[in-house]
Amino acid sequence: MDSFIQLLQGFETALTWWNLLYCLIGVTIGMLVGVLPGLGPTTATALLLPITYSMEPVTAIIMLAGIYYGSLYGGTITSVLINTPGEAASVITCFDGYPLAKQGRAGTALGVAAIGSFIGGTVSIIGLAFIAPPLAKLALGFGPPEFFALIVVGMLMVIGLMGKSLIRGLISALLGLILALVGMDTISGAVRFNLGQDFLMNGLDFVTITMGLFGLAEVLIGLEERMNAGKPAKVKGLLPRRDEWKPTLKAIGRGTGLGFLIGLIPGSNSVIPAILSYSWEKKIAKDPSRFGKGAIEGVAGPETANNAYSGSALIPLFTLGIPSSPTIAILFGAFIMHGLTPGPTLFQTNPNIVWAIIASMFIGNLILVIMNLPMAGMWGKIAMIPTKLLYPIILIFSVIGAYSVNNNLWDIWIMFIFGIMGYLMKKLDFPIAPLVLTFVLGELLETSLLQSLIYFNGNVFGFFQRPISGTLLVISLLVLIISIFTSLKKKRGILASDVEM
Amino acid sequence: MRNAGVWAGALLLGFAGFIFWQSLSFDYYTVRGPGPGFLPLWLSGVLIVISLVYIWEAIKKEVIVFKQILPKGRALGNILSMLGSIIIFMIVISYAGFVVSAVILLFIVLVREFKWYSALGISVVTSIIVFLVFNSLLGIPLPVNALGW
Amino acid sequence: MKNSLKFVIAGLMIMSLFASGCANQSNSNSTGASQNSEKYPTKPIELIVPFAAGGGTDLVARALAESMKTELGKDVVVINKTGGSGAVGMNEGLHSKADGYKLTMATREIVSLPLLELAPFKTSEFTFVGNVNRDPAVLVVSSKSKFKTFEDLVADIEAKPGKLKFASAAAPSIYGIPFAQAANLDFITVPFQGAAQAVIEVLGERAEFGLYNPGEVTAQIKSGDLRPLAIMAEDRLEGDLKDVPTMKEKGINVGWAGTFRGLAVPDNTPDEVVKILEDTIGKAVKDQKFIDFMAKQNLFIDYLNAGDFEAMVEKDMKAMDPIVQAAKKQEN
Repeated sequence: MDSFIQLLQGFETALTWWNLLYCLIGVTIGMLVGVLPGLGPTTATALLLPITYSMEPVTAIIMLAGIYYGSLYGGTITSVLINTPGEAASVITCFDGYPLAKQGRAGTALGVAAIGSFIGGTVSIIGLAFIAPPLAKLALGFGPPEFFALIVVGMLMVIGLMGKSLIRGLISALLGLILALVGMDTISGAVRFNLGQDFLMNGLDFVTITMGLFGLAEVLIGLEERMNAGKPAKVKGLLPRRDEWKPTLKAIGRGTGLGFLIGLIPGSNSVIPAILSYSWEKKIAKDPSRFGKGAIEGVAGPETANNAYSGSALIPLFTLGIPSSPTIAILFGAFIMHGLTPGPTLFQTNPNIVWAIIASMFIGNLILVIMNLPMAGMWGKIAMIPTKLLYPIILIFSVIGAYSVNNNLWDIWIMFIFGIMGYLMKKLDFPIAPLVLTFVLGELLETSLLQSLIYFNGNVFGFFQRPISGTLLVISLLVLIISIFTSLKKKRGILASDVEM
Repeated sequence: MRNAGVWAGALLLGFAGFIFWQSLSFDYYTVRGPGPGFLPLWLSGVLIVISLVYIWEAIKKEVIVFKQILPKGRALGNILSMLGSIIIFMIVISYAGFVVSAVILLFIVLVREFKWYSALGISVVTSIIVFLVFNSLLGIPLPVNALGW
Repeated sequence: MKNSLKFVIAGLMIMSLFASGCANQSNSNSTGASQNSEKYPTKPIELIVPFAAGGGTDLVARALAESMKTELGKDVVVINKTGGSGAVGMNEGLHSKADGYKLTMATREIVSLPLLELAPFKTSEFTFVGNVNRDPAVLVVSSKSKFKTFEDLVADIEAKPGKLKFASAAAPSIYGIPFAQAANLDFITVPFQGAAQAVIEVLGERAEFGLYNPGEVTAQIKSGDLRPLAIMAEDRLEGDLKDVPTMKEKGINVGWAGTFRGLAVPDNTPDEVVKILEDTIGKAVKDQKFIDFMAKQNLFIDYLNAGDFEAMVEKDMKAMDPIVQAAKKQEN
């Protein structure tokens, strides 16, 4: 009850016209960076942080937080329309969002994503407001062994998900993991596989690789098929068909719960809930073969999950003072810059500020859903721009996106190479998503593995002596065994859906 | 050898072998625990095995011939012109700055589908707008020529 | 054809509309470098922090950047470049253009990493501009832990050699090794990327203890989640931690172990630029806002000008030698 009154007071602060304006600016910039490939929320918050120095602390953090959760709405748009994720969390949305757009249902995909994002985002903020402190304490039980196990389960499920062949999925995933090793090792400091080049010392960048593998490769494939490509279908409606409402809302419900729980784990990222949600949806669907061909639940679940994650990921920050992702780390910096110390004492020392920020997140989500629902149709029309114009524009954005990562021309060459690689992979029917996902999680996988083994004195069975990591690893072993078995028996087509937990 | 799958497999095998060989130069195990060579050695080792399985599959089970997957005629032209345009872009940008090279990049791709004057118009307008948005507004220092663009 | 053109123009207009939204924002900040040859600095300066956002070095850098901005009249933008226990960021700072627009936060790792052969540069390749902060390490345990005093912990490590875990904020630990050497202890060091991650391990009781800088654990000590047992310094600290004994009081002659934080630039940076930066730092550390911030975070200001900082770094290179030898022995 106490929280409720404080939240109302928070609304009082957040609803002043000045704060409303900055909330609007924040979420708009968030949408923009989500849409623009290359520019991510981390870069955007970092770029705008200095501008906020002269603002009131509340106003500054309201705006920066707006960029953070706004970008998750924006990232969906490019995934659905041009099969290029605007930021990492939207990789999964490509699987079913893009096929939907090809069927002329881009509006529906975007509409459902917006509704799901709103519900997921709002529920997780309610969670942030009311049950944060007790839950955050539980999250401390998650250490390196648990992270390692969680990543392994996630990766194996992705490999099980993609494409027709286990072998090709595995190859793609292993390539991603190996590419993630390039550069300086985080544990020992040894520089690996940089081919003697200084610019590779910091490793390959996620944005550069995705711009190449998704953006450029998509353009290359498109240029080739253009001759026989039909006219893009009309964008009709924003809402799912009547019979799709029930499964959609259920997927949104599951995505909300999943995203919320994963956000509580310090060190997790918004990609993990999206993957888990997708595989969950596919597992429980009556007809899993629809997935990858435009299943509406495949958009609703993951999009909801990553937005639900965005709210609850602030819980470790507000209650423990621990930033759990790079963007949140910059928000953390903003708190510090304005003389606030995130941590267990924050709710006591600066209640007016915290509650105003939480209240503004409700408002921001409302603005975003209003911005997205009617405009989804407008964004959807971009899919109707003739490809002969759209492709050159994607091309120029990919080039700038790759360049802006480090302001370095080398990154454009790297993107170029990955573009050709992506093109060849598509030609040979290698799935690309496992590569990108394992690349994102590779560093965390290695550090958590090495840290765990140090904890266990090098004893691999230590993982199985801890309940959470043990259970997760047993599940992943089962997934692997069943996938190998089914692919040997050539029953993969029928059983593929059953092995993904 | 017209089997594309075998070539891809051989490429993978070579890559995995290179990583494996490189990994040997890092510590596999240190007193503190597994070293920087630990994971790459395992990953590339597994990749070597899987590449071999893939090559076997490509020969015995699913034969993909180059003819099936390589683009022909106009499609090949489209692809080569785009790849070429990026290479020219990269060469020109250090001298002429972003705007000029972006116009060239877009023009090469667009001219295949549009009349030359439309292609030029679209290229120039797009390049300038993109430059203004990213360079001036978002503060990304795009390479410029002596005149500042 | 006409239709398609319309779409492009509409698309581009939407784009520019959005962009103008943030234009009003960023105009005040950076409208590119002005072309005329004014006095340094003519454009925003980047400050590389080789550690994750939220760590002690990051806090000092952000506060310092803010005060430097007031002095210089240009933005000082903090950029976190993590990896290799700080080597990645420092290396990038060293190999950037020596024009004073990319500064590097120099911490004690700038001395230790080259000695350990873990960095692709030498300490002497940097010019040290000024030191702003020096913090001793503080030993903490979870408040749920059975260790109530420093003696409890030491006794238990001695009773179970090679069993207790120390969650280190970096690898190799320049706090853990001198502690183990001075007290003749044997414990396992688990390396993490920065103190923020390592502290979670202590809070979650997977690691028995940690050695961090006071600023990195103040929030958790104040909230009662962590218990400080001892500090690695000659004298007790002032402020919130004044009741925490030194290791020396407890009979372990570890001397001072901790970190310093200052600014460095590549050594071919023009002298006049270094001079301007040195003066700026000298004034920034006297900025009341900076002083208040540092006090609140339990970060201790210790200003050294360019000459004194350089001398201190050279002294530390010698002091670090036994630690480096121990770390190398562990490697092999």
